[in-house]
Amino acid sequence: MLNFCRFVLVLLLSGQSFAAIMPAAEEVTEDVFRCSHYSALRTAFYGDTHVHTKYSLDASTQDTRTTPAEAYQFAKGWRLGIQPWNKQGRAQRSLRLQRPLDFTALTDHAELIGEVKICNSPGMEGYRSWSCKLYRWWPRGAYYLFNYMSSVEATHLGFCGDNGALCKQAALGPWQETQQAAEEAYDRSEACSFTSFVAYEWTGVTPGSGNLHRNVIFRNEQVPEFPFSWIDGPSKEALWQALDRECINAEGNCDVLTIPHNSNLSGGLMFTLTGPDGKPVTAEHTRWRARMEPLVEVTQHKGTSECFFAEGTRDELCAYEQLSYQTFKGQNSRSLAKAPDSTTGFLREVMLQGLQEQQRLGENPFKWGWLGSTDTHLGAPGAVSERDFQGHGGAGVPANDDLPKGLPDALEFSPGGLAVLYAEQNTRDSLFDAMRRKEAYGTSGPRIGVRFFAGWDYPENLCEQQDLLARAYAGGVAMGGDLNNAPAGRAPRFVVQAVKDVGDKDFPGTDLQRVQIIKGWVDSAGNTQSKVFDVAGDANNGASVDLSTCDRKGSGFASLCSVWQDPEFTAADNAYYYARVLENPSCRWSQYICSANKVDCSNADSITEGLEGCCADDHRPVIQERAWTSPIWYTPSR
Amino acid sequence: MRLNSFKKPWLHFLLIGALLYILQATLQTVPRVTIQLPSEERIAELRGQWLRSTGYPPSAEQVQQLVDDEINQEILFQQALRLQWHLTDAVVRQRLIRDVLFVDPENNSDEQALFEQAIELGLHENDLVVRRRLVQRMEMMAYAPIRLGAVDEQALQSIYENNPTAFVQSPRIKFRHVFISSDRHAEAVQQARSRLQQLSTVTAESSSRLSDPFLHGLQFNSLNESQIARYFGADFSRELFQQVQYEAWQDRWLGPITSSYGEHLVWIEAAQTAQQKPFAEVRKTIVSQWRREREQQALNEMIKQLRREYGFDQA
Repeated sequence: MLNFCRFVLVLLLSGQSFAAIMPAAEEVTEDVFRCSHYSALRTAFYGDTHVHTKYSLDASTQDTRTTPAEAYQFAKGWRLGIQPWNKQGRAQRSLRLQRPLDFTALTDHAELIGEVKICNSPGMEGYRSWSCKLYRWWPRGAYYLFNYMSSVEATHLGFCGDNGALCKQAALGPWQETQQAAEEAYDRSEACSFTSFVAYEWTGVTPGSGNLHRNVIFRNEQVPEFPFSWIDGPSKEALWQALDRECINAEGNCDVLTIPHNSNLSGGLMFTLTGPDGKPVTAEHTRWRARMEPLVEVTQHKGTSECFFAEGTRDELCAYEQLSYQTFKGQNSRSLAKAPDSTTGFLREVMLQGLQEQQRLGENPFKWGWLGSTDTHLGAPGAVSERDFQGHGGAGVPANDDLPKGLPDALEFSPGGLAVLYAEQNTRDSLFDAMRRKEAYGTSGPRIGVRFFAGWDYPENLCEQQDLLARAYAGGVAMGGDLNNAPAGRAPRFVVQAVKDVGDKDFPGTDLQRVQIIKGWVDSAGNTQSKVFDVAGDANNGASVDLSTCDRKGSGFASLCSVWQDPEFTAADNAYYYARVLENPSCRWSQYICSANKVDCSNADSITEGLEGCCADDHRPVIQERAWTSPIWYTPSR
Repeated sequence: MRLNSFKKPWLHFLLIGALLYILQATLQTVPRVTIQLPSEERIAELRGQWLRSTGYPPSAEQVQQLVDDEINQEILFQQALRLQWHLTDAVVRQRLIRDVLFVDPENNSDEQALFEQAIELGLHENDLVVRRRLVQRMEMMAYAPIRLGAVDEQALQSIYENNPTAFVQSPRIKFRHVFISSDRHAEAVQQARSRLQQLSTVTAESSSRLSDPFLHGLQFNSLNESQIARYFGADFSRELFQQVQYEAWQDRWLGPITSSYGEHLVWIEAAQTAQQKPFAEVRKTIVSQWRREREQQALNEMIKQLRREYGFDQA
């Protein structure tokens, strides 16, 4: 009650203009409390929604020992020991975030954290056995009972303590531990310094080893008894059904969403327009998908999925961290690798299909907000620095060695990116609502700031207005939103405002180069089109990077702002618009190591063991770090 | 005479008894289970994994470390098998049933039969998930007394008292600012000085119309130094906190202070000095820290003990 009073007080004090533009009241599932940093106009919170700890088999086999609790502490700015380990079990290297994260979701593989739901498949023998009947009737009891049975033997050996308590404790799995760690990490005080989410990864694959993975993120501590895995249900529909049944439609305040990732590795099968029965999807299926899957991961450790690049592609920036293969098979065997193409899961192209579906069904299945994340397998959320990247897949270089001896990760992988959410405050409810309304963006790592709005009546000089934000919210929609009801003869106006990453004390952020707006639409003939507009900054500002030192040369912009009106707007065409903010060029993580080791590709002697990648044909030494906003969709009135 | 006494049955009885006794005592110290040391192939595999993930070969010492870890895992795994957890663990059971069906999809046996076939085939010995699961249960077993046991409140208190700097609520500032963009004004510092003069004629609340637009807003609620640094940069944040510490800030505009974006004039609404967080607020953190350390010790202890019970066999 006291907190509610404080909230009302904040509203009153913060001025009438805020109250007028206050977005729809957020859904509240936890104790109502307001953080000391509460802001009605929302601020950007930085996080990582894709993190593996030692409970992921593919992390533990690489000797990652990070527990869920330690992963959260790392996100909060604590030092984390990573492999290799010495005899005493002490880490020989460590990592630390210069800037802590605001939120993190740990997403260990449900299939491998070992907990499978027993007796849930009517087709299987034994489904009707007494234990399965018990399970369906009283799941929690049955689970303990099964594990109790498994501890009976040990009890006879006098190993389990009184009543087998020790063995029962031992049989509890990582799902409990991950929940416990999330609860401990969540700052419920007024400082709201950190938010944790209970989550896991549903690890589906196609028969041809195409990636269908989805991260499952829960709103709060109310989560199903077991994570529903790909083994429990080998289709996304089975997953959503289970989440509806066990979470959304269950008693209490459970809420959940799924975030697909690495569509670039799906061989084009992540976003299909056929249902499980092989028939074209219905409007109902499409609405269901939109409800369950409001976000997509645009970039991470294993490549970027924004748009497809091949020689001749007009938008050359699509080449950024594009992998040279289209499924996991390509990662393991170059001879089996198939090159990606425009149909293998790149979001710009898939979202165009979404617009066509909008015309066909009146519903758009591919209407996502965008996030970046790391997919770290070291349990190191937010470790996105290019400068001291130690790999996300395994061990890197021992800290006691003066010079790195090789590249600590596969050449084509990268440190991955960050997830950014615009929310009133750093709480689970507030951040989860931001995910639902897609007021989110992804970065390739740096903390670039960007806001993106669209409206019909924005003044041309909106960038000059100090109350830009209040006006932008009041007169239009933020990123992730929908633009409807075009006034006759009017084209939408977009305002995009970007600021460079300020950097940390060791490494000032890189200046901005330019801001672009990318438009995708379906023309009157039903053809899909896309076009990139430069709306602010200067592509030819002359900035560059010195490859031998990785020093950045030249300057760019500290901030950019533009009001842009679509010059080719047609009120009858379905369209989406998103903004892309580009930094000046900087060294890629691999080049930092190559240049520190003085590799000179014209001198074979300088290419020492482990550094062959520096001179490989597909090595890209220079990158332009960037941010992608969630799109804003325009839908014509029917 | 001497020789004769050797023929006495009671002496035989005693001697044989003593021999048996010694034999038994010796046999008891013989390890009950022998595990195979990692084979050359396995070590090569471990080296390969290392090489793939680090880009360089492990040193001799590092190889020894990899081998030691491998042995520890094997001991924990073998111990779990001795406890017969593989026969009763629900996760292992499901995994093995799937393994059999993977190898032989046409197999129509019931679950129990499938499971028995898997065990008979020894599938549990080589399945990575089964191994991880059982090792993990052993680890949990080591942790169990600590997780179930009571927390030592005195130990918590002493951690709290002995680490005063670790549990401090950092200083926080609530402020508004007027921003002068260096992208818009070639002479941003001069521009800032002249706005500083203009500010003396307006109230803090209406100062915003003298500001350029700033993406993160003009008003900031109660933030600490690192939180302010993320919006304005570390230099700005440090400077601001120093001014608040050393200068009078009440009822006047501070600055201009430079950030990555330009100049800022700052009006402090409230400043909170560093405070020791109350024990109740940090207890949760201390407990998990305390538990984690003890868990690690317990696991090391368990492995140490088990190592005495196991013998090693060169492959």
